[in-house]
Amino acid sequence: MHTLFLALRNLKSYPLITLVNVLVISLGVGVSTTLITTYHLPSQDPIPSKSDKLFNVRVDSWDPDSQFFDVRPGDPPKHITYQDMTRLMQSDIPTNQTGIANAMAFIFPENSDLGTYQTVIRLCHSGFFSLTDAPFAYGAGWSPSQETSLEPVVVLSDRANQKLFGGTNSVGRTVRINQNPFRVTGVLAPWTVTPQYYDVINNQLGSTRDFFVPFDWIRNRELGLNRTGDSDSWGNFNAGDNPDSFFTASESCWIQFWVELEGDKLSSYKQFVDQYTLDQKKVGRFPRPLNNHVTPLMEWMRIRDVPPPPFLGLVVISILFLAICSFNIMGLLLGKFTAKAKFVGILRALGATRRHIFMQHLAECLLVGVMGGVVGLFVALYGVSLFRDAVPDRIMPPEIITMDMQMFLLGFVLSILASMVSGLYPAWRICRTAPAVQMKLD
Amino acid sequence: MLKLEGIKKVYRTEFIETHALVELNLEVEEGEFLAVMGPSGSGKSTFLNVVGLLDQFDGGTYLFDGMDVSRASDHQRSKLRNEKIGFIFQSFNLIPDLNVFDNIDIPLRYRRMRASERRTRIESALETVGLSGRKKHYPSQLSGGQQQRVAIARAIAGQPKMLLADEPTGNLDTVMARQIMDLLELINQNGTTIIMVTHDPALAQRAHKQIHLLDGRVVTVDQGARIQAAQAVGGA
Repeated sequence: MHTLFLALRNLKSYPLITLVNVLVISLGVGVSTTLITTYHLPSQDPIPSKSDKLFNVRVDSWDPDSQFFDVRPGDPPKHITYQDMTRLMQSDIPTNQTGIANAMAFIFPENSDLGTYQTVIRLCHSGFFSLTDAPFAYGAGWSPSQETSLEPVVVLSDRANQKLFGGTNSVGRTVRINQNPFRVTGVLAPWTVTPQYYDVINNQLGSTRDFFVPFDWIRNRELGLNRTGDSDSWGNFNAGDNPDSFFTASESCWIQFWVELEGDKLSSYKQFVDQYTLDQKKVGRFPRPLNNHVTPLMEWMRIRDVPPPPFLGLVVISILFLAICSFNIMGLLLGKFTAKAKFVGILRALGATRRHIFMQHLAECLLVGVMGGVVGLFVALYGVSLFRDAVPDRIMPPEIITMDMQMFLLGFVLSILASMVSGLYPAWRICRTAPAVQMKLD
Repeated sequence: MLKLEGIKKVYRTEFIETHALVELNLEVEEGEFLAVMGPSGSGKSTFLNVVGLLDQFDGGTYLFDGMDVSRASDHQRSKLRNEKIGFIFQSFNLIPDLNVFDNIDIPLRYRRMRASERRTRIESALETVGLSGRKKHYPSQLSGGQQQRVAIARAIAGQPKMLLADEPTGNLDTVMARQIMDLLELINQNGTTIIMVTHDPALAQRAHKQIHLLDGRVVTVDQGARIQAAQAVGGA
């Protein structure tokens, strides 16, 4: 406590140097925390309560003569085919399961003043809402039976409900999608998952889609939804007179498939997937060796480079920037500590050990770090707001660009760490000098 | 109290070696009051730095209070300075940002002494130097003589066995200087060994013993007037 007291006195004795140190450290921490926040947003666990239970499923139905390109060497394609999804959905092992894809559609609002607009809708299964713990403001998702009988049902995002129905309870009302009226079964509460793990391929950092419809509506030619997003095919498939055969017979991979498995179900589910593949081999599909992947969510994000490598580059830059700030502070501290050598000499004459002096100087750095941390967090908040304004909504929606408590703490710790590190050498140096030299008694 | 045998201290630069202390031998008894005199550059301050464990020496043996400090670690030397040696400097060397009480408190805190004991010692030391009413004052609010008395209070609050004074009256007028010397004599009478560096022969006369340094050597050792008078009284 006395060490802190003396340290505080020292800081007050050199107000200008203290101010400059605090400003430099706060600038370093502010910039670093801003940049690290941009990395942290897409790299955090998007669903901590159950991320260990969610798995991405891939089966290797790809061309035997070529390696799929957009994955790690030896991995199966990043998507699965519609026919595989349909058959995998027949398993009763997962607690929840869903296919994930996107389609373009036109929305015809009841209120004609809003005008018709085009949007991307989410194709998914009824299990999607439970699997993702999607929060509902009104109603709920559709049931499996409504899905099987292909009822025209839709779940709206909060944003869509605000736009189309002014935020009121719109359950039971209809939304016209392309040619068909869809009945609203549920309205989500404001909900943004960052990163959007269930669709990291197409919408990693985007907003939640506004419309969720049962997956199989994609096959309804009258409705005329258009698939959108990444899609990869091989072979010489020709739909001919039966366009629906694209879904039932082609090897086009365009669906991300997710299952929720309780702890002891993983191995049985893997067996199920492998057995399915072996059965398909008997009918001439899956020409490659058995290569199915049931990948835990966090590993899937790593595989898919979430967050993208440039974000990591920003982190490296931020650390370098902070290091430069620390280096500058080290120079200032060396000058300051040397200037007050006589004061140190007096303390040493009075019985201060090297450790006392070292700790007192580090305590000064600690106080500068604390002050720099507080100011730096305001700088970081400003930096994050600048970042929010600079990034287009379609790349990263503004509501997700925020600093959470983890980032606040990190900024604070970084400030203290940078300050302490910059003070280590000057503090060590001043400790090593003989008291007589410091006091210049001669 | 202390015994120095063959003490050497050499300052080295890239081009030159300066022998500040050369085979210095000296013995100081417990309770003695020693004055160290000599011209500028004779090695007085170096002598005080070595004796006060503020600087290392390059050869010889130094026994302080029965302990060979030649090979003492920095930590041990700090502890000895803190517990057994008090310093009084010409320029007082008080911490300007701390008030009188806190200035005296510093060395006591390094001993991890309880707050109540520290307070008792500080108040007693201030009473000894006649500054009980000034404990909340800052050095800048005190005269030179008062500042030196605070420095003495800081030195004696730790109840050291030895007090080292480097020109303690050098920055004071005659009246103040006399008061400080009276105070030092009082402290010495209470059993504290004092070694005082001074240029002033009149002040040196008040010590038990005077040594004269020249070129890093003790050239003469004189019994001071006070001790001679005491011996004369004893002889009669």
